[in-house]
Amino acid sequence: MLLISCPWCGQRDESEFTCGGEAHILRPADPDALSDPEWADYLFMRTNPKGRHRERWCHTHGCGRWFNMERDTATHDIVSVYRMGEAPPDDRDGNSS
Amino acid sequence: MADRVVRDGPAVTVTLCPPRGRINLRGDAGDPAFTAGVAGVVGAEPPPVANTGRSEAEAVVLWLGPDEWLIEVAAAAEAETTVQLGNALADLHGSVVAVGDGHVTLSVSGPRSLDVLAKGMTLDLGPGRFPAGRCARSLLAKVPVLLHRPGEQRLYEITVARSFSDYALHWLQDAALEYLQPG
Ligand SMILES: [Zn+2]
Repeated sequence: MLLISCPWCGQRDESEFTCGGEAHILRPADPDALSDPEWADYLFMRTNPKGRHRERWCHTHGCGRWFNMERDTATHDIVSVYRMGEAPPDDRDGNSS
Repeated sequence: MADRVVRDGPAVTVTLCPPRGRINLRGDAGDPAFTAGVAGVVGAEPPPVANTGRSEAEAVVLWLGPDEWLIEVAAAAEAETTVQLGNALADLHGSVVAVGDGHVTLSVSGPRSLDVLAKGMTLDLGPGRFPAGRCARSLLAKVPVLLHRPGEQRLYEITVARSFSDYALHWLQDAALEYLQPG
């Protein structure tokens, strides 16, 4: 079981949360300009890495708010938690991952 | 539902609270017009600090989220307070919804109350972690609940959706049983 730090509520049990999949997927500015494979790539294809992964999570049974979390999919280590609209902490430090 | 006092003993008491009015409030806590408008009606500003509540004579305002609160008032005052809040906040972005009939509040009190709650909650209720005035939405035996500790005494109020109330009450009764046995 993960102990997740909601940006609003602090540490809570994983059972209160819902995972919303990969974060930072931008809707294409002009969907009409895309081919079907390009549109399908936006809709369906995810990176699914073994290792660090940035995800959207919702504190469904707490404050009800969505936020972002960077997590290691192999070790379940939570690297960082940041609010919607914020840049990942790694990027803010000038690093990239 | 059955008796108001369902399980009662020196160690723990599980009670069904009398009906009360409840209003779900949403708005911008950073807008002075919003906080003043709410305070003008219910006597308390919506608390901006996560998982805290404010209790006044006429109303209790509990934090649900960064832009969401639950206001508890007397059952008879719910309709009028809802209208007054709607008028006071008419020009602002937000919402005021009466939700009292949709919920039921149970209470667990007594020296063993935390032992009962700990059987079905993952919240940290240890010493100093859930002081008087604190509130939190969480799960109790898989049921979404709003837990509130109104004062210093060991009394915890549990607000659940009405459709879950029988299950939650029976679960609490069962969880309290071992502390009610003689000896
Ligand atoms: Zn939260």
